[in-house]
Amino acid sequence: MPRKDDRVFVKNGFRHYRKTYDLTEVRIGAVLLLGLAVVIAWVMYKGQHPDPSLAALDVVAAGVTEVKVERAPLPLELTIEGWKEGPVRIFEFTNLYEKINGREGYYKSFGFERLHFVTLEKADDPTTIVDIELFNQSKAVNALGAYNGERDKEATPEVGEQGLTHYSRNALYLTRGQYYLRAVGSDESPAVLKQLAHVRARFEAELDGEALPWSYALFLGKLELSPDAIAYFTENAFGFADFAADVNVGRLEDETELFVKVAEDEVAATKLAEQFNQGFLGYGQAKAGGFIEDRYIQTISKAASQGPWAYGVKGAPDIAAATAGLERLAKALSGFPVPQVESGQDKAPEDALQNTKSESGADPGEPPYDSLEAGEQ
Amino acid sequence: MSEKNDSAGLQTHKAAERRNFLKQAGMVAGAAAGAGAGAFWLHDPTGEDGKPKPKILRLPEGGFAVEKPSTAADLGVARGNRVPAMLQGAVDAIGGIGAFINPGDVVLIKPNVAFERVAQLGATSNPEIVSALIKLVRDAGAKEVRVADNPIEAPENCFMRSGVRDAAVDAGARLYLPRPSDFEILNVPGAKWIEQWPFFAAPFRGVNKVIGVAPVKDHNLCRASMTTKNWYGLLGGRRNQFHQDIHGIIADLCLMMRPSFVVLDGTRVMFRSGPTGGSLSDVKMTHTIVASRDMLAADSFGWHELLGRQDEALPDYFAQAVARKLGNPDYKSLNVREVQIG
Amino acid sequence: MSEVIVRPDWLKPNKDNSPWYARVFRITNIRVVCQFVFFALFAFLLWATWFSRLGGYPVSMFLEVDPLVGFATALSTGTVYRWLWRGMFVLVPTLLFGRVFCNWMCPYGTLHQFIGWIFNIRSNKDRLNSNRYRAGFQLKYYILTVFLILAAFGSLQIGLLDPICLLVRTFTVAFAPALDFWAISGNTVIANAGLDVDLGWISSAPGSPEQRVFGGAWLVGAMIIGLVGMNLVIPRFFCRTLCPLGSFLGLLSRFAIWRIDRDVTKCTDCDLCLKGCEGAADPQSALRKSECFVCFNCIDDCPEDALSFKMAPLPVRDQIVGNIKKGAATLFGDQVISKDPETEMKAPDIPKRRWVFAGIGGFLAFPFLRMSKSVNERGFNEKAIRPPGSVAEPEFLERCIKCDQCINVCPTNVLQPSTLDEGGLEGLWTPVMDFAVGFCQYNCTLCSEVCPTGAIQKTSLPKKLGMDEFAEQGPVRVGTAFFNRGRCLPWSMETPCVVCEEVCPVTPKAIGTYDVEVERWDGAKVTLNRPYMRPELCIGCGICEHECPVLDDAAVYVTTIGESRSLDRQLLLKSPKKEGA
Repeated sequence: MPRKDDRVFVKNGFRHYRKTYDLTEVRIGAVLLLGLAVVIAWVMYKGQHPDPSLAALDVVAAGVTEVKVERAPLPLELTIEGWKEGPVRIFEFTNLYEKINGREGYYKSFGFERLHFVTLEKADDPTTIVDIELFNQSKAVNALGAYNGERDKEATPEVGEQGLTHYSRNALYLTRGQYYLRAVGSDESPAVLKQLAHVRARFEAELDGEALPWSYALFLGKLELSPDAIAYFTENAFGFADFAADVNVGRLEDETELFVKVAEDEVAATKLAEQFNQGFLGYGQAKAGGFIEDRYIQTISKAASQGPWAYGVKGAPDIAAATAGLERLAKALSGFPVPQVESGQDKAPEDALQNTKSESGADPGEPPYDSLEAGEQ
Repeated sequence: MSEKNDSAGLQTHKAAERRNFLKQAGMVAGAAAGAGAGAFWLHDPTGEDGKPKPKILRLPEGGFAVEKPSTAADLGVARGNRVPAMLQGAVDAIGGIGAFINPGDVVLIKPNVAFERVAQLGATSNPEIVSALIKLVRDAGAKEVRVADNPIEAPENCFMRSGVRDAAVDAGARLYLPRPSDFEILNVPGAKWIEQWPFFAAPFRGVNKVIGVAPVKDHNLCRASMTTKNWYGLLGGRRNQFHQDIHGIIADLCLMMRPSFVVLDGTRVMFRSGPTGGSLSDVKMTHTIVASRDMLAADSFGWHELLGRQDEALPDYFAQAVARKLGNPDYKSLNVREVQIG
Repeated sequence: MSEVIVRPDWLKPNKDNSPWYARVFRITNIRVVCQFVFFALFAFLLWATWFSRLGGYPVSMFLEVDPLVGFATALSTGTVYRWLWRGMFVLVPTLLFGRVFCNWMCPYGTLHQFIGWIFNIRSNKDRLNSNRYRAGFQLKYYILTVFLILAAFGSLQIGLLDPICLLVRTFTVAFAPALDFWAISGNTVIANAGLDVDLGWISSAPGSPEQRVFGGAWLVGAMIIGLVGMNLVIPRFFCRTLCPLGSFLGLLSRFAIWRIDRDVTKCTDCDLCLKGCEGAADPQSALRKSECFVCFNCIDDCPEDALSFKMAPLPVRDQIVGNIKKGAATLFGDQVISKDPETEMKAPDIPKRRWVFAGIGGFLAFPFLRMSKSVNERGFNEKAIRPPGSVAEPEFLERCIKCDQCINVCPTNVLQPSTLDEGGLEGLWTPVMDFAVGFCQYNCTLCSEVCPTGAIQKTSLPKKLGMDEFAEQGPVRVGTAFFNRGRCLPWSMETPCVVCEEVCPVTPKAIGTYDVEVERWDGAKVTLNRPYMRPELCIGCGICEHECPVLDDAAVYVTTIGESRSLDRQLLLKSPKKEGA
């Protein structure tokens, strides 16, 4: 006989015994369901608006930059009394635009690697600040190029042993090896200028530069040309073949180009000068005194040698200017210390990670002023 | 019993009883026969049959490698700043994507998503490369593109933080995160240590082509982690034992996986404190992408040119892999085509 | 002949000629919809408590809206943390209408009611009797008293029996792994059949390479089966007998303005109203306001329309004229049919001395628990490593409601509910780390995000890692790792290994190596990287212990020493907290 309670589920679960129904219940029910809908809508809304910090991909928000370690190239004790230093921020290739919107292409064309940015603030006056930007341009040549491009034409740089420096009203610019520093104050008040001077002192003390390429010492120092008139060709200078490698060129005001190349010894230098002259003859004709006139634009060129130096002028407006230029150059070269001849490379920091072909735009084979024109926004 | 014998009723009843007996006897016989048959079929005299027999997998003979067209270079090196164009350039140098992917292929892309680091720290594959590669493969007509890795840290977090999750999903690939049911024992004949090892098999079902995408990293134990070490992320089980002979393991990984090609992500390099890194000062931008059929050649290029360790000897695993004829680290003797992008 | 429109039964007008929707949308059906929606919302929020699903969902919403959590933590900490003020959303309706929460919103109540309803095979008469009030239902008030006194002393134990905490915990520790198990088994079967269907969406922890496991899951599972199963014996057993939240709301219900009122001039004492009474609140006699769940089932069952939900009615007993027992009584001129004049009981039916005894129990309970040494600072368990962002242990015990939301959201499964062994009764089911199972993910702060009471303070990522403005105070440390050199491969077994150093996530690494070249016993030359600790850098994340290949008893292990939340448990003199901060 089956058991009385032999069921699994309830029987007549919905049965109720009331006899009358009330529409008020329906109305109240409608309001309650509306409230329910509001709750659900709120939950869904919150779900679509998460706290951004939980999924942060920004390196800084994800808390990666360590202040103490990352500070590395920035010297300590940048502030003078009464000033304080803000947090250091780092920008690299992929997010440089966040700091320098629009101009970042300029630095990238000079082999940009990393930017350290820090603001110094006067403790009792937060509106008086100095913004420090330290650009790591991976090679000294690039740093100089970037520096030159931004330099105010009137400002004359001081040529130090390890870099160039100049002030421009409320800003300080300097290069030190592969680093290019820009420190801009909020105004030209004495406090700011004093802080800037201290910044310069600290950077010059702490940041290891390296000796400027000898061509700078020659063209800037001895010949007093402006730094943006200096060029360097790793190869194919003037369109000539193999011998025209490692040629340094300085441009005078009258467009005359003075060029210099270091050879191993006197014999080699003489041979080089001969090769240059042969090159010039290729598109010009010989004139008196060994000068060669370009058959198209009638400018005068000539190469000569002195000791281990092969030097000359190119593109002078006339023979008089060419002679003057040659003499000037010859005089500057006499007694000038002869640099070691290194294979194909200007004095740049030894950096195994660099591959000269991989620098987009900042190829040392190109003269800095060319990439200036390309980079200028 | 009443005087009137109801013998007819009794006879009927007895007949019914006999029928009932036969029916019951039939059921008894059936039950006994069933039990006996069961005992017979399942008989295991020695206990061997009762032991668990996990499914053992084998990858296709020759792996996923493809024939090399005669005009293709062995190593494609692209330098520049625009990742999609660089990737295209590097792949074109080794024969073009069409030489590897046929329409209708199911392609697996294996990036390195081992740690929960943002992409800039160089511990994981550049998500831009993953994205560009997926698009490239899809344009070549692949039916399905999969992205898979078995990270060391929590998988969801690693994929998210490295940017690979978004890159893969936005580019239309299917993401495979490891689940407990996804692992099967892989048989790698001739391997020194991993002849049989749990393998992340689920993403491989139905796959025709495999492409590895590995960053260039320093490594505290094996000195560098590049395209060869990348396959570590396909294994499960107790991987923490591998450090007892890491070079032997990496050589085994080369044996285990013959990909269609590999991409070496040299856009940035973690040149010290690897493999986890953790600081931007451990990373240098090197703006290079390398594509290669030969993992050892790609790794050697990365060692010499990207990590810049020309003066140091190659890590041991190269020698072990070369001994098994798994590649040629002397990339300079190979056909290397370099492309400058922009 | 006029057309006969044939309708299904439920669309026909009612016997009192009211339209069909007056029945279909009556208040009890609305209530069922409400219960269903809240239960689904509750389940959804639990499912969404996972990194990839979290978004901005308020996954701890039900815990925050639980007024007992807010009140008890206010007692124990003197503060109302973060979102706990939202308890007002339940408190105010309770003050107006009574224990509406118990039958309209509480997911545990819904679970009990559903199981008790669907498997209820009793006859009507048995159903009536099963819903009568019993003296045993007083127990929940004693439990509440003990809990509140404990809370006032600084030991928060409401989480043991609070329905929301209990249900969240049960889901996390017992139910979710079960779901994962079925999803995995399902996936294996599907994969072997060659189909391309993914059951991972069922899983509570997708993207985990290993099945999630939790210590003591069997006990939690047994509890849920036991408590829910008791509904077949006594309907709403938990809600009536044990629930501290229910008793808390019940005490507040004395102020309720609305209540179920019985019209004695209509009531025939048939007791049918008891058939569906969820709270065992005696609607057929003096309604117990502290027990009534406002489920409206009684109104649904009264054939005489004697019950209604009235605003501030007064008891009528004193207004009845005549002898009610003999049936010869009137109320304002109408004849009184019922033999029972009582209609209201405001407060729980508990004699004063029982409150006193419960109070004494509470006073004794605190020292008995706290001096059991497990969580006492003198004898603390050094392996009970708390999640990052936790407050110091005495404060932790004031705040943790053992809801296990942190354990639910943890991506690596490292957080485990503490067993009786590890934490005593006070620490039971509070979160501790077990590095054999997982490790603390470096860039993750999810546990602090979902903790409703601030036992784990909301911690931003820079604060956890000690970056940016927190660089001076350093990272949050949950402990320090120690080497057991006798078990370490390179130290004692001439075998290379350096997994711990490799996986250490901090920069610079908290593990360094002495690299030595050694000639092994068999003549082979091998370079051994022998690890050592840099305790000033270690944050105790435990990935070293987790990855150490010495599985049985790891050669590098983490203990709570050096945790930044506790001044007492420091190891180094030079810890940041002490360095003149």
